[in-house]
Amino acid sequence: MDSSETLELKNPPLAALLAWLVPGLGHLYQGRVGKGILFFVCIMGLFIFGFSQGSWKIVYFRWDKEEWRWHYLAQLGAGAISMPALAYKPEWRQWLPPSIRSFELKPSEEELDDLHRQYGNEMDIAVIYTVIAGLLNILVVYDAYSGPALFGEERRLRGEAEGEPTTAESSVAKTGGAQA
Amino acid sequence: MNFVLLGEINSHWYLPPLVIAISLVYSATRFEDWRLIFTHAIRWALYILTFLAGAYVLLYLVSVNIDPYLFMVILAALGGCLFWANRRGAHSQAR
Repeated sequence: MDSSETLELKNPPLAALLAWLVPGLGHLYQGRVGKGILFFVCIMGLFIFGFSQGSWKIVYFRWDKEEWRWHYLAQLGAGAISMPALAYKPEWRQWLPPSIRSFELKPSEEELDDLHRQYGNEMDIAVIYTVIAGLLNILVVYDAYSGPALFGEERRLRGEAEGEPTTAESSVAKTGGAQA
Repeated sequence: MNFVLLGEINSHWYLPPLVIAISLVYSATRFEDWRLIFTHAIRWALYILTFLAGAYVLLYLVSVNIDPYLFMVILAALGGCLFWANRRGAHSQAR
C-alpha cells in the first residue's frame, strides 16, 4: 500500500448508523470487509455469549424509582439486538407470539432472586460481557464515521518503511452523504 | 437453550474471551493495516493481563498475613515491573 494513499469512507453518517444497528455492518457497507467481520464476530460474540451466560434474562430496561438500570445504556450500544427491551411494558407485547413475548422483558423479582441464588456472581460477569460489547461498539461506530483514530500515525510508519517522507496528518476522505 | 456456564468449569475462563475481543476491537479502531492491528492487539492483551496479574497478586497479598516489609518489597517489585513494561512500550512505539 502506498503511504500517500488515503482511506475513502463511503457515506460516513449512514455507515455509522449501520455500524450501530449491527456491529460491523457499517464497515461492510464501506467495503472494509475484514474489519466488518472482525467487529461482528467479536462484539456480537461477546454480547450473545454474555446474554446466554445470564440465562437470557440480563438485558432489560427499567428506569424508575425501584430500579435505575444503567447497564442498559451501555447494552444499547450493541444496537438492534438490545432494542426489544425498549418495549418494556408487558401490555405492549400482547400481539407477539408467547414464545418471544418475554424476550428482553424485565424478569419478575422472584425469577431474578432464583437466578442470583443459582448462578451467583456469574450473573454479574454476564452483564459485564454485554456492557463491554455495547461500549466497544461505540468505538466501532466512531471508526465507521471517522476512520481509524491513528491513521496518520499508520501512514507515517508505512512511509518510513517505504523510505518516503510523509507527515503524520490523517488522510481520511469521506465520500457520499455529508462531506467533511 | 442450555449453555455450559464457564463458571462451572473455572470462573477464570471468563477472562480470555474478554481480553481477546477488547484488544482486537480496540486495535482495529486505531489502525487499518492488519499487521499493525495484530501487533497493537497483542501488546494491549499483554498490558491488560499484566495489570490484572498485578492486581491479583496485590489483592492476594492483602488477603493473607504477610510480613509488612516483605509486602513493601513485593509492592516495589510490582511497581518496577510496570514501570519497565511502560518504558519498553514507549521505546517500541518510538521505533
